[in-house]
Amino acid sequence: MPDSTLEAHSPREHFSLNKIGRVVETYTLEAPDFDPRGAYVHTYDICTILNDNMFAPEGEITIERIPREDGHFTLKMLCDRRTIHNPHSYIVEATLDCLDDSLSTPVKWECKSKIALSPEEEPYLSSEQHKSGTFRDGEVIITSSGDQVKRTAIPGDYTGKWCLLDAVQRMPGADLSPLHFALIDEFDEVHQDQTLSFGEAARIEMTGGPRDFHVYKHLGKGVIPTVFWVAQSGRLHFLTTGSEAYILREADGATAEYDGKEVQQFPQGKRL
Amino acid sequence: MRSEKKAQAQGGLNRREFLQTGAVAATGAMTLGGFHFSRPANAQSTPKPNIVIILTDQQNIDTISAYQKHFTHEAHGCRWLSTPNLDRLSKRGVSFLESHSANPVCSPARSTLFTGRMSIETSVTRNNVGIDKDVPNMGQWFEANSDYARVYCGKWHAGGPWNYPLIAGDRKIPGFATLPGGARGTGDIADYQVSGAVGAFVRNYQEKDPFLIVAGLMNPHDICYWTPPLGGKVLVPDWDVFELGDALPPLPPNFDYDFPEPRPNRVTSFNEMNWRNYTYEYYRMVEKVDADVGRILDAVESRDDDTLIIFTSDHGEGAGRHMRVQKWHPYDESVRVPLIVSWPGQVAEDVIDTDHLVSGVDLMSTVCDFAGIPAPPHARGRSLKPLLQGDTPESWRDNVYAEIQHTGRMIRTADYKYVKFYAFSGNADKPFIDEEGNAVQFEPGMGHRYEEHPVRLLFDMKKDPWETNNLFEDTQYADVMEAHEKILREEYEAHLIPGETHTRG
Repeated sequence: MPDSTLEAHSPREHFSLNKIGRVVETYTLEAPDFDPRGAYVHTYDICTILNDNMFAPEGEITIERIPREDGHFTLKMLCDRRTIHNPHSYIVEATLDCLDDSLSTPVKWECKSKIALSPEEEPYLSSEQHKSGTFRDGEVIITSSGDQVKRTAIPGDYTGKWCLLDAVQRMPGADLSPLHFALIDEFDEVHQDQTLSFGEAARIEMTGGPRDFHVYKHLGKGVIPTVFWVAQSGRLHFLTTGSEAYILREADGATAEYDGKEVQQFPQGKRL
Repeated sequence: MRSEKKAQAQGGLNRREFLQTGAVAATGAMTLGGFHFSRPANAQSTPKPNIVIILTDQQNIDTISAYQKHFTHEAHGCRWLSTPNLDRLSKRGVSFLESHSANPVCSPARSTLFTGRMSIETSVTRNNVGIDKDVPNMGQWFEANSDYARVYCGKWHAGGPWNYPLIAGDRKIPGFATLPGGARGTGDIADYQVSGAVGAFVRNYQEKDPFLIVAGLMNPHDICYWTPPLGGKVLVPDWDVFELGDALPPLPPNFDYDFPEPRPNRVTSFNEMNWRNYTYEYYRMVEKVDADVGRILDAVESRDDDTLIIFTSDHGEGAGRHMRVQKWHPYDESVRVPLIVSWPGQVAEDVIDTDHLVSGVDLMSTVCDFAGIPAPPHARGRSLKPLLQGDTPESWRDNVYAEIQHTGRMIRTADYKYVKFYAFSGNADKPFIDEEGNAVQFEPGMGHRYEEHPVRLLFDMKKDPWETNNLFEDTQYADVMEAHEKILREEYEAHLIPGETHTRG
């Protein structure tokens, strides 16, 4: 990755990072060496960002990758997003069986979701449901609680929204040819006509010195343009998509440090 | 004098009596997930459908891809997005294309949807205040008059300066149990919580009594944060940063225009690329919320009993039309909203109704009719049930009325849209200025005594659907102006009962 010709820029100069400029400028992470095809556990803070002042944590997502010997790997995912009635959260747990390919394509998955005080607590007011998915004969087949089956035809490649957080870490930077695929959104809905492509190599000024990133762009139906920032280590550090940002907080036992002070300059009042 | 008029209109009932109209005492109960629903003694035993209301926020009438035959200009949204789930819902129900918000601003619109009263009557003529204490909301009305279990999940924004209800306390919606979906004010995070929780509830519900559940989805309202007053250019690039090229929608034909208007509020800080990026992302937000609609639809289809689905939005979005963002104004992009009603086997399917003028206040009358209970007193809407079941009523309204924030008034007939604004006093609680220059509250029948803005709007909606030619100064249309003014005064202003007290805010 290192390119000696790259000029370092403040994150505030980059369209995708300017809303989390403070976070990026102060970000440090001393994590172990990373094998994007190996086992790892990443936890991302999920935040709402609306302007270059506002930064509001909303929850977190933990992704664990477990390689297997059959050419597949398992992704385990736990997402905990706050609801308005703290401490109730919306909790999603999933296990996906994925191909070790360029899109981390899920071939089958199980997902359960609920509003609860924690993953171990009972669901609040009948809010729990289970969904499973598989791909067969050109169709994604979603089976929901109560044995309801829904089929959606997919003409070509596909992947899952959260699988991309794994897949981008193995992408070859400028050598990537644009990928075209369908996207399974939150395990149960399909958005067709997606594209993921290499954006640029960027050098960003951060605490401790400039760091190099590969930047990937994801566009498509049902997706606010999404930008992935993969660090030189190979780990996905930041993701921004409209008013959401994901920031790598923990990586294989190491904890990042950054100025994540909550700034609640949430626009209120009549203009909404 | 106002209080006396109001009490007289209500037959002298106080609030408690008002809500218990038709009910003697609550007997019987159901406990669901720890929440206790009581049942009035006289609740009818006739089987009635479950009712699912799916409400998006700030969605334009032309942002459903199935409507391409009806919205044929290249700038119409349906040509730039894909909404497979809303298309599916449209196919299994009736879509009303002449559906209008009763006040195209979040809190006022929502107050009218969930009470069946005009915003001047709910006291919610601006954002962040709560419904008048004497006007029951849908949950309260159903609680007093039916055996429905009632649940609300997602954006409410008709109870004060907050979006999402809590399970208990000040921010619980009276009459509804709360599924706590949603956090702050963005659909990005909240909508999946709402669609997931509502979908689960619908799948899991096994009680004997029917349920009424509202899914308050936030998107595509997230686009508000892309507008100059809020997120500003931080979120909307002024160049083609994502190299979208021809995927960026064009500017609309009414982007620029030259006619006098009472409330000029164009956004002049965006260049063309800002606008086209803005509109591109707006349509992506519609697609996102379409997925959430799909989750709820799937859940309804998993049941083997009867469920009525009503889908609508509170108001629309400027999306560059009349160089506007957001809502707050009387043009069609702000006022006209999607409305689809579905109940396979009981309601017509795959019908696009382009003839009947429909209003947000019709929601309350419609759900009451399907639930077999009377609409609340002074409900201003009409039940859509006859239109949905192919029973053409002898007469249907020939106009709809809407309020625009505090002091704007709109009359829409089959051919014309007429708008005027009273002068705003600056005092939200007493927004009108009377002949003596005093700030006053609205008084029925007194419109002739208020100061008015000298510029009005009149559009020929058949010949000029993009509203580019204001006819109000054209003497050929003087009679048309007068006829619409007469409707406003005689059919609406003479009868509306202004609210007095915000519950919150």
